[in-house]
Amino acid sequence: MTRILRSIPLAILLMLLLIAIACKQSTQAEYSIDSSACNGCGECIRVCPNDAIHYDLNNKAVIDQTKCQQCGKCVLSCPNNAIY
Amino acid sequence: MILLIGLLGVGLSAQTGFSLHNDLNISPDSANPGMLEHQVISLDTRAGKHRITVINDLLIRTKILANHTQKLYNRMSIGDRVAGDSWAIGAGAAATMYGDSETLALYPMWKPLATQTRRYQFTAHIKAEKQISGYTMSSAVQARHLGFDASEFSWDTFDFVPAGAQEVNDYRAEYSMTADLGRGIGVLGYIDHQDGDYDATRLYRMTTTKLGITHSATLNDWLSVQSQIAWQHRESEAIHSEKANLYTTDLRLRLRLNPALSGFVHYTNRSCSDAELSEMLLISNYLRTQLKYSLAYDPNATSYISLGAKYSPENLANAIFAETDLQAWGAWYVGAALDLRSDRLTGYSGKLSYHLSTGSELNLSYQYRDNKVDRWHYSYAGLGVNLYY
Repeated sequence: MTRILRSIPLAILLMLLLIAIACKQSTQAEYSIDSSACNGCGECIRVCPNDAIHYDLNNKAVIDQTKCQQCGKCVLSCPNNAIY
Repeated sequence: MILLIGLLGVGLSAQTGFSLHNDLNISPDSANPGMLEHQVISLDTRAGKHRITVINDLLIRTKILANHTQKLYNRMSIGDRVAGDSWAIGAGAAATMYGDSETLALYPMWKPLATQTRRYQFTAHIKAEKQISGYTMSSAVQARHLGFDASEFSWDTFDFVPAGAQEVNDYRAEYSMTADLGRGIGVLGYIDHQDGDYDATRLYRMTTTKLGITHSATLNDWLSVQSQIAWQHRESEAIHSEKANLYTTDLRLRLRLNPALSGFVHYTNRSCSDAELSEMLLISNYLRTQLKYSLAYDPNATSYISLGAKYSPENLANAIFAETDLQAWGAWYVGAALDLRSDRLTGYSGKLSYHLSTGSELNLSYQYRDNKVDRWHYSYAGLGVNLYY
């Protein structure tokens, strides 16, 4: 059983590789914020021209995908490189 | 602050932490002069089952620079979290004031010729959590009130004309549940709905449903693994049909090679499909790795070297970054940071600091940032103070 449990990450990794290799690129970009790297400084919120980024309840920045226009200004503004 | 004084007043035993971060920067570039003041004050009080946090974040610039949308930004937030052994309730509010705002799109997708300059924003939230034998349930509501001066493009004058002060309200409500199945395996479910009362409400309304499975395992003394696979369905007119379903897969390896050297490797894949599941499409890959080495010669254990990189080619978000802070002599430290993002941005900084106590310091700094995409650059020399009690 332990061996099976330990093999789960490997299975996920293989699946990821399959997804990454097999998939066609979406015509629509979408940015996201790595919450483990975000320190809640709010720099992305201050530069977003579409009011599309706000604080969540843990004081981390999140992107409202209904408003985001994929301009990418937040990616370059983030001092922690948390946006991708 | 009133809550804090009130709690102290009723005789609860309170333990308070205070921090002040203040940076005053001046541009030494005569062709691009300017001043930047950034101050963050926070107060964290624990009294009985309460944890009260007050934060004030103030940023003043003499001119709009570096894609900022306003010269003045002040956000004050207050939150109170009451926690028991298996439950917690939290509530908070924040007020943000904007000064000399840039003109922003009001409804970028729906009505591009309507614009706004932000004046203020109030937010409030309430959250409740409960744990029952391996299950954790959480629900939250967050509401926002935004005040702005609107303007609309006139085809008569061929210019934007003021449309008066306006206000909009929106909210989001979420409910999540996680279940621990044992042996590091868990499942999660989440539903979120956002709505508002403005003209384009229909467009910005969204309901998100998420289901996922998580796994975490400590493989040995130096390696642990966390992984998650999640499916998200997004019901909204604003989400492109080919992204109605979002599939996120995360894998994180944590390394602790010895007491001085630690790091992680993180990989996220985001793929999507339309509601009919007709085709799986890739949104982005994201690979991030960081290593931190703590230098043993520093008795305060605050000297370190950190190296990192992120790779996300689909969103042009590749970067290499490094940071160090080294004890030079006694309480004097020398720090430097480098941030290279392909051919899009170059940033570096240097710092000379005097450590007053752990976490508290006075510093002189210099920072430079060159954004080749939006074609701006700045350099600032600054005097900073960080205090923690």
